[in-house]
Amino acid sequence: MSTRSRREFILESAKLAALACLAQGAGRGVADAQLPDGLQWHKAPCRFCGTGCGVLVGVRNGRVVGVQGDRDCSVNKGLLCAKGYHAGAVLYGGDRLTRPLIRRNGELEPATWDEAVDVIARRIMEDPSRFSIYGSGQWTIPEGYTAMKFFKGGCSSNHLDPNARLCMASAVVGFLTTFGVDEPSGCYDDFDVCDTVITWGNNWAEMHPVLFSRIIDRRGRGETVEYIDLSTRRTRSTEAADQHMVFVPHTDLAIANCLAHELLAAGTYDQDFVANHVRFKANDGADISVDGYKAFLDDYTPEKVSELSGLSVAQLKHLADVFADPDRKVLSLWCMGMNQHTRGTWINNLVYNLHLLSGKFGKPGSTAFSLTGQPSACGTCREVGTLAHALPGGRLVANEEHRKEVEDHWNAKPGAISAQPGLHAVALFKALTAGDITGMWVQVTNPAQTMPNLHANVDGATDRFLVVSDIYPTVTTQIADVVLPSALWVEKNGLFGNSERRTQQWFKLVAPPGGARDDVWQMLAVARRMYDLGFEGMRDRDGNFLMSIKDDDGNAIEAWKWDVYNSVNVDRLIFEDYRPLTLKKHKDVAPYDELTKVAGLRWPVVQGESGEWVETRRRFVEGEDPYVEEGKGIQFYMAQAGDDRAIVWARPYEPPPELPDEEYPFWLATGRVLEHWHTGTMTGRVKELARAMPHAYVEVHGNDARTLGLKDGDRVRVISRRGEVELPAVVDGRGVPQPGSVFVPFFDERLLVNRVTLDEFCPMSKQPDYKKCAVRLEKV
Amino acid sequence: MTVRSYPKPASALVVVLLTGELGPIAWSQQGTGRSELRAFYTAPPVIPHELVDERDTGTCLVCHQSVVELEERVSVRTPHPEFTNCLQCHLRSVTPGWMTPKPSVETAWQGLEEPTTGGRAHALAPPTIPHRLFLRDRCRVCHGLDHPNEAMRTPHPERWSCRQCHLAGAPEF
Repeated sequence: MSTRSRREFILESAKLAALACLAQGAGRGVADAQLPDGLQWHKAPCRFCGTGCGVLVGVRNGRVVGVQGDRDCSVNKGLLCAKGYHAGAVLYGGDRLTRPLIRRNGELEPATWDEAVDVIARRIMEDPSRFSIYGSGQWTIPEGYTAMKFFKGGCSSNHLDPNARLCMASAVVGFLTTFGVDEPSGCYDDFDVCDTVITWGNNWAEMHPVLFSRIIDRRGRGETVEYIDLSTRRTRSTEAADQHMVFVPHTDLAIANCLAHELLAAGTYDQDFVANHVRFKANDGADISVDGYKAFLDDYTPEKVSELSGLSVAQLKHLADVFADPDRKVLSLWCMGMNQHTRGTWINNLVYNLHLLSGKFGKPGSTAFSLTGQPSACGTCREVGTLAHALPGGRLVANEEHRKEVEDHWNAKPGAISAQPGLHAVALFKALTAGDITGMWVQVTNPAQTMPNLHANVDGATDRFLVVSDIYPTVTTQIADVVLPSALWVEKNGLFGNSERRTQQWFKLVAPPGGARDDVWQMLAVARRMYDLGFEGMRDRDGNFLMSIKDDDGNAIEAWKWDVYNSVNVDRLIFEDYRPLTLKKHKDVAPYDELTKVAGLRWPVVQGESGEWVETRRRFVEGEDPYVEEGKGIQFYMAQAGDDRAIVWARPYEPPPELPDEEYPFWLATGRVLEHWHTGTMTGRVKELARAMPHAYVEVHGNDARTLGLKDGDRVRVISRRGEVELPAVVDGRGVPQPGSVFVPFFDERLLVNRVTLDEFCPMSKQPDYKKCAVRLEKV
Repeated sequence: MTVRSYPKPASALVVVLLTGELGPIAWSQQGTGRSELRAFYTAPPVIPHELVDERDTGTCLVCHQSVVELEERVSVRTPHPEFTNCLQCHLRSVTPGWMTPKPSVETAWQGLEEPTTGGRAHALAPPTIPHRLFLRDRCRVCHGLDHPNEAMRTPHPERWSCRQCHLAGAPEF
């Protein structure tokens, strides 16, 4: 194809994409919403949490002017939370980054894109296998896939890990060890029919408010839903609970085992389900019998566990009765309380144990559902596999067959993908500090605020070569050597994957400000510069550009050129390149063009007899999941042993690595608040959100406040063995920690609580525990 | 030394209900007009006063389930009492006294404006409804005779089937 005809083709594609966009709007009735002043509403997923609410974005004269809930999206049915409603304003903060910056003589100075791309390409080429990329659960699917091909395929560096490691890695390893494959089997439809919901250390009234309302609002319609809040702190969620059960931090391990003990001791477990679908394993992986499992549980009588956990025997027995009742539909929910845990994998396993033993699994309203923190932790980090040990579609770098499949798909040279898993987030930052990793590219996240124990993990890394792609100045851009201004949310095309396996697509609706450009383009441009500079890793088996983007006819387009990139829907082409890789583990995502028509589809999405694409509400369930064989009922078809059985694990209680003592007598938990998204980079620039929650604080229980002589607003130093932060105290605020513990939100870039936190992590998932460390308080 | 007793919120609310006094609750200095409380048309309005209870969002309905007069203030009734997690959508615009208010946020945000009127097909036609109906379809909540703002009240309260004559004038989604 000549250059001219290729360009014509590109323009034609752009027109088709625009027409497709209009057709999509018409199909959903959105085109009817056109107003005389040019206002149009377009579908997108919300930019914030893993709930994945459908929004309609109002656009007029090239600007976002409003956001409302999409009533056609079954996730949220028209409702949003305060962050979602104000998501449009995050585009318009006064200090958006609009041009690349390069550090020269200690100062970040404006530079051209060409200079920035060149600097980065040359630095990576100096030592590509020791260069790293630290990404995000807010990466779109095409962004994660591009980073994967760039680093794992092009640089032979598996040092690619996301902030999702800090967020849901324990959930991933929990799913893998119990079911042999990642991600929830249930979905939000289960929320509408459960009888009892149990939250395990989760303040979902603030963190997943739309899902919280989805259950609580059922009461307003006359339905009865029992809600048991099992937690270490009184929160907004607690106010809606029928029972609040406060336990000593980390003893959730023993509590779950105690409930299993009760089910087995009383013989009230679901014996058919266990006989047909479950096998038992000791903690070391050896197969054990039911009797062996019973013997393991001997240590977890209600009396013993009551003493350890602080729950009463009656509370423990009530919980066990909930699971023992064969007619009750039970939903377990959790998020960071279980995942940010030095035994995060174990506690995930233990909660699945309860649902498997009681047969409360795979039936409408009965499931164990791991809520996700970020909008595409599932879609990008878990499905694309942007983790140090993973490859797309549930594959592993350590598996030769998996590497070969991906190398073949990319037409990469044999052996291009290293067999050595890369470093996980905490280890990556430690290696960066030590100089074993020579450089890092950070995208869509702010590690200088969010890494645990900042002094040990980030302070020493400031001498390394650090590239940061972001939309506003952050504490991470402050220490960067190159800052790249990025496009945000509806300033680019994108796809996310939410907590319930729903892949969600949106179109670019407005232009990014000034010189800001898409993260995908940034990576393509640097990769192409490396190719042009003769870097072998960026050549495929035929000597062509490894990361070339091919159109529907298989012709390569020059997507590393911004004008070409802008004239084609590159996202669609990348997603369609990725899609075949999802089939192996039956995570079949829907075709891009199908996703343009609806507010997301839940995988596996397969084509029905008449050609329609059908989503799956519940995995492993006959009649719902197309991969379950007829007559099986429930089939765990990805079981590692190939026996279609899920595993009940005998995981013991183990004390946390740091306990309060005389010198540091308080537990510290960190977390989020409703108004702010993670580090406040976006939400801190929205007037309504920043006004409602202007700064961080430390929540103290009234008894402790009396002892320390504290009242609201008094300045307090929160001090650990690692560092300190000075904050105003609140004695009876939005949350009330139990006596002997305090809580600090982490959104405030001026009050960095991660100077104090501990960087111990779950040895299986490598996810750090931000919920427990020992501190002392000093009134200032 | 002044230390707040624990727990506060429920008892504070009882005092409010028994005495009819709000006590030292701070109010926003900005107006309480429709557009002043919203970042854009269709955004949920912010709360123009300090929260009585920051944790139990159900307490909002104590004053906002009906029209309640307290001191010189009159509460506005919610048009969607079936949604009880009020603080999910409605943000406070006044923080408690112990917090340091945020200095103004620099932003170029310009939200969608409120439509002014619903318009009429001709001079004698009934006006159309200028707002969307999702979450706001209980006409009498805002247009009944007990609404604090007289201009909002219907001139013909004896008519109950509002949408017999008044058609949706704002696009519904």
